[in-house]
Amino acid sequence: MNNAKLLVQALEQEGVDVIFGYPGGAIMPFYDALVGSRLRHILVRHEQAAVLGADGYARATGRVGVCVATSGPGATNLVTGIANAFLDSVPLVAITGQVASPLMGTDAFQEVDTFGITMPVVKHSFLVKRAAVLPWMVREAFRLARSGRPGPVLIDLPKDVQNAAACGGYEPAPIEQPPAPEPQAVARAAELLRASRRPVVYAGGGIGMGCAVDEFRAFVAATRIPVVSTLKGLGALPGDHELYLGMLGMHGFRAANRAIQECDVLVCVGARFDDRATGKLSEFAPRARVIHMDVDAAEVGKLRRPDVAVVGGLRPALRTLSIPLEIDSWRRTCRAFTAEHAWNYDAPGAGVYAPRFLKRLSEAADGETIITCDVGQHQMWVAQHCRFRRPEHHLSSGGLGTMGYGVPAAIGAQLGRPQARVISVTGDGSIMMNLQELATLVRYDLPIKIVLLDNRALGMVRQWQELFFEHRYSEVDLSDNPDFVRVAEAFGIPAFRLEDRREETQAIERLTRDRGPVLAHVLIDPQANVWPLVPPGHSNEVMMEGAHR
Amino acid sequence: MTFAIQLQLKRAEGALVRVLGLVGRRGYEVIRVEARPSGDERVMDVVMTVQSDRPADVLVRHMAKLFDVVEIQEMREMSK
Repeated sequence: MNNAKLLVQALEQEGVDVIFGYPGGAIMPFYDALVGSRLRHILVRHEQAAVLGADGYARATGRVGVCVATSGPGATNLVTGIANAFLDSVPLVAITGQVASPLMGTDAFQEVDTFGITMPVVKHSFLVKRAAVLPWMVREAFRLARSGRPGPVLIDLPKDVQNAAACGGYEPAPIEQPPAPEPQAVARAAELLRASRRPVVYAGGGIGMGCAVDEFRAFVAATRIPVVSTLKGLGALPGDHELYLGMLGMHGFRAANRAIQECDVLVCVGARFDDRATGKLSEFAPRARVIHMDVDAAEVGKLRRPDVAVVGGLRPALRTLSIPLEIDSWRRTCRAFTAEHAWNYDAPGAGVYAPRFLKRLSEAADGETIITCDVGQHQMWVAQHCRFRRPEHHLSSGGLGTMGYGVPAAIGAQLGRPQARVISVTGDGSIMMNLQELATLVRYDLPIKIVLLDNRALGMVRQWQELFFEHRYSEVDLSDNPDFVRVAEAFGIPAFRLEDRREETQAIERLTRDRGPVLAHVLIDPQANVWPLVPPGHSNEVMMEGAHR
Repeated sequence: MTFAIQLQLKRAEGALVRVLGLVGRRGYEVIRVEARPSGDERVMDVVMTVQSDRPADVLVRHMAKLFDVVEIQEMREMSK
């Protein structure tokens, strides 16, 4: 047995069922070993979709996503997706072919330094120079990808090593639990909570990634502290929960940002004080003492010095901190914020008002529906107006902001959760970044619903040029878009166009009832903006508002 | 602020480059670095002097996460 075969068997033993990839010269021994394997290989049409598909699979299932590419351009096409997984802490193993060892360093055909190029965006990487170390490296790759703060791990595998005789067998990596936090730190956090009068929970993606949703909800039920969420934290608490104030930050809701600015204790659970969430950092939660709970010690004090750092697994800490608090008056204040800033969905005109359409779609979808996003205005409207019951129901490229994420992630999510309804909300800019994957969707008969919000522009950039560059529009016009209905149909996907709000009900009916794939091409107002908006460099207290369109 | 960090590093592919890359990416500047074999052929001893406005403890925690870092033994502030 050669190493390529051993690698395939190792993946099988790790419980991998689906891998996403694209073959090529330096990875051919691996593809040869795939023949007859029980691994299901998804042949994408561009390597970026392989890694983003594996990312979507991992986020939707909680398992490690696996992608494969050849050396050179195959590997460089993975880089964006590896960075995407790195910034959003997604467990991923990326396997790349490499030219044969004697050719490495000679500028051989399709040779690049994949190990070096990816180093800043991986949790760790392995270059397999000797056959004997392959089993250990694969085991460590899986262990590292999913342990502690998850992330992507790269295995770069020269062709001659793939062909060499395997040494030894494979033992799957153990599942590790993160260490429990220090009891003294948890006790100090409890003291701070008991003394607080205006606490707020700042809930991040770590809750879902750390499998701590149940403990988090029990913590909120016991303490009854109002909760704001980051983009990745959406769904940690159900979107209709009485204590949920909405997303915070640049496009957060006023109630959420106000509560943060007025709180006396900020309980950061699995979040990282990202600039899009905090606005001007020095003015973020200015009166608050901070409890920072995170599995990653390096996040503590990176941007905001906490008063108490609770480093380690979230689950035991949340269990211990599930204590009743006397904060009735503050809760009433927060409820008043929510009522005062309730969204008005009555936009004038006959066209489709994107926030209302997405809210209606979300309400009509069942509680297990997964929504993936691309990046831009539609992404923020989804975060603001769709309600999620679980974090794994909302797949969005948060840290890297990767346009082109939505459709490949939907493919990964649908393959990982075949029974779930998967909707990909995209824009006319984003969909063109990985349009070729409509062919993958059709090839594997995936019933994904695509909602393409089309404003004939790169909307978010256009909005910033309008507001912060004195209406000087530079390279944002997409009025020459193709006919997206015909494009979808050319791929074999049924499609329809929606322009008139009176047809929304029928469109939503199709998107939530049709068994197969469908693309809804939704024309929206090209001048529509995302509100509210905290201007860059400002405190979250400064929230711009504009007209509903 | 200038400070010194002493660490033990596995002699693995790219280990030193990975550490130095991390220092720069996180907003710190390497002023001096010395790497030498230790008594154990599987590890090397590294001492580096680093300068930044950013806090030393944050960099140390970033480094401690690296798979190839066996131990961070010492950190001392050398000047403001």
